Amino acid sequence: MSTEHRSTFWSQLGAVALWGLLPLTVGLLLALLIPRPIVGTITLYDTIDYYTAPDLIAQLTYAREHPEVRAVVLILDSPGGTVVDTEAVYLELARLRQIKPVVTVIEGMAASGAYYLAVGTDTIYARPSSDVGNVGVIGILPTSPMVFEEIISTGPYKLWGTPRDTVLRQIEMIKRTFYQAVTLGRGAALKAGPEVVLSGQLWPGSEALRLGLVDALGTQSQGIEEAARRARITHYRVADLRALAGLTDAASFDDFFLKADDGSQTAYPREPGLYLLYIPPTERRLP
Amino acid sequence: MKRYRIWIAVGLLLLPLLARTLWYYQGLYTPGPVETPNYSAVGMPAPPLSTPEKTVAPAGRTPPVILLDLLHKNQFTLPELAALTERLTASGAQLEVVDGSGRALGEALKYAGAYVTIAPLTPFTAEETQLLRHFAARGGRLLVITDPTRNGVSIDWLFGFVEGDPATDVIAANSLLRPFDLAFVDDYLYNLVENEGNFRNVFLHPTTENPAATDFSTVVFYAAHSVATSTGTALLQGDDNTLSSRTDTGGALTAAALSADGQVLAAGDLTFLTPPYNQVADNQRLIGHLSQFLLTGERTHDLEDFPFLFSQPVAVLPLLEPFQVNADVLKALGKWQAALKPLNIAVNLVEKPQPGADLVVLGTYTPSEALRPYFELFNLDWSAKGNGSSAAGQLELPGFGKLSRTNTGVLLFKTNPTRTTVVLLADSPKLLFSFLELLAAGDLSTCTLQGELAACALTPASEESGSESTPSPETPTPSETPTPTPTPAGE
Repeated sequence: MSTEHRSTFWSQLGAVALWGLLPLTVGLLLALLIPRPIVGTITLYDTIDYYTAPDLIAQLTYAREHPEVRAVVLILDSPGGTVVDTEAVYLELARLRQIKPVVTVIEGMAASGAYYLAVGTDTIYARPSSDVGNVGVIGILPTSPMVFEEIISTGPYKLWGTPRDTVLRQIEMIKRTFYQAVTLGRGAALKAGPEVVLSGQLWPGSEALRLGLVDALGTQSQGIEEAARRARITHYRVADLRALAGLTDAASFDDFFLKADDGSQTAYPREPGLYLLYIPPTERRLP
Repeated sequence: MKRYRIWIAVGLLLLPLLARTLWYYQGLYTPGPVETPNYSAVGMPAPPLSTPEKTVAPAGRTPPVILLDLLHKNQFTLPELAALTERLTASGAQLEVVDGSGRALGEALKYAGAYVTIAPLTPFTAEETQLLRHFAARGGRLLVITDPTRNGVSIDWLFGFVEGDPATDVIAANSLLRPFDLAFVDDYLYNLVENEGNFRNVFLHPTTENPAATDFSTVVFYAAHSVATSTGTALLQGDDNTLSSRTDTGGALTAAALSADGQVLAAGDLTFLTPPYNQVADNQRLIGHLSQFLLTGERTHDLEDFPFLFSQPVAVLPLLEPFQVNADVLKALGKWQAALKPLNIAVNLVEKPQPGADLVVLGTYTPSEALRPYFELFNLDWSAKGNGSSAAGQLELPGFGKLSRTNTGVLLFKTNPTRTTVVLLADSPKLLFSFLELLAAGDLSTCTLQGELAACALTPASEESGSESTPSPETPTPSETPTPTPTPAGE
């Protein structure tokens, strides 16, 4: 091989490296910057309360702010919780849904406030025997106002917060917005009327499907696939948003529910107030 | 050539990016409309309020005594009834609580015009039911109110969550209502379609049979039992969407009903009487009608009600010759005054009948012209020749036959719209005032009643060994007991 030929070879090789391998390498390196999409999961095996709601909101915020999280699956086994915490999580869900799909998978139960969250997502899966529904509000009326010699306040309800009758009407107002959330969330899929939905019943998943309260009977993996399909992604990975958001385990049940004299936990909230909560029948159930 | 290379370089640069992108992403997510409830537009439902109207006392009637039952673990407090009781007392009615500390129910029913029991938890005994049934049969009004929320359970969020065992007032109320063909159902009414702020707050409307149907159109009951009756009159009913919790079905469910004789009213809710719910819709008018119901009973009295036969001041007219006020007279009159004091009825000794006063005439068996008009009231001829002749130590009384006049008192009773007249006769003034004392205690256990007549065994005051008590009915001596003949009167 002559010197000229050798020079041409190296020249061509250099050109290939410069115009071929280098762009390809750079392209490959840049491609690595394109994140593998994530279907994030948020698990709620708990009440929606002042402990769990901030965690849920943190996970939803993480999903909204991180582009690699392309869809979210909300996995529920919850009796509901407080009104304000449920509404806070519901509104965060609505913000997230404006940019990313959210799918709900109901495991054991999505009652009351938990179902409130479910109707705020794009698709709801339930198991055939999941408990679904219990749409409504429950609360304890405050004490009738009294006057004490030793306690001075500046108004009749300064000590009591709200007249008893107002609480009654507030419950109705919350029920109406809950029902609005159901009708808006379920849309044409909802087959049952208000007299059925607002009866407060819990239905098994199969019956909830017939009533249009859920979209399909399915499992968590189906929920994840549906979320990915809606987000139009493949070869994704599934990640727990709690871990991604760096959240530690939160305390809950011990503080939310009332304890009986023997120290056992009851099904009743510790504090009087308004709840989107299912209270299961117990030995000492409320009438 | 150079441009060609640039395109290749760009292509090679983009190729991995494109490949990875297509590997993961098949398109862009296009969110649908995300709608949330319009929270600011959904307000608290406000109740339709009404203004109170004054209850007017029925003209020409003496306001009755109204008994409030607290003997049956009744689940209410008196202040809760203020909306009703204030109307009643403003109309002049007297309220008296029957709680076992005062007069027994049987005694109180003798002078009462109405009886109210609310959310009782312990059943009425057979004796109480019989007394109240008899009371209603004589024009007494019964108001029976139940409430599904008054179940003996209270909730304490500080020291526990449930106190008391759940009970229902339906069983106790129905033990009283059974004879009147009225029965509460152990349920509560609800309406998910149209309600007053909550599904259990149901709108009710008067039926066409309701006598007050033209006076109001809508009332609200706040958790109410339904009432069943086959012969009575349904007063308030819900619409087709008002359902019973027991069956989750509905259609013309009744929440208040009146017995066939019009004397017993059953209502399945108490809350509508309590503030602030008494001001909702036409509830105030309904409360007004309830108070009218209690005030307007046509209570009739008979001898069993003694001494509570009277509705106006009592004039005691002694037709004795000679008559002198002595210790026996004062003692007997004092007991009458004490007996009638709860009814605010004065007792006065008079020399002739007084207008606007009931009359108690005192006389002996000795025929007298002064007594004649009163005998004629009862179609009796007590002259020496008549059937009431007191000859030969015996009396002859229609329906009783011949009676021993010794230690026997006779009571004649007549009432009409203007006056109640009682004539008391005995063999001597001393026995007569002993008789008066006996009646003041309301003790007719030594008397045989027959329509407007009664014959009573008497013990002279002098035989009481200084005791002020009335003669013991348990130990009458043979000579003290009236001796009715075995044959019909006159034979």
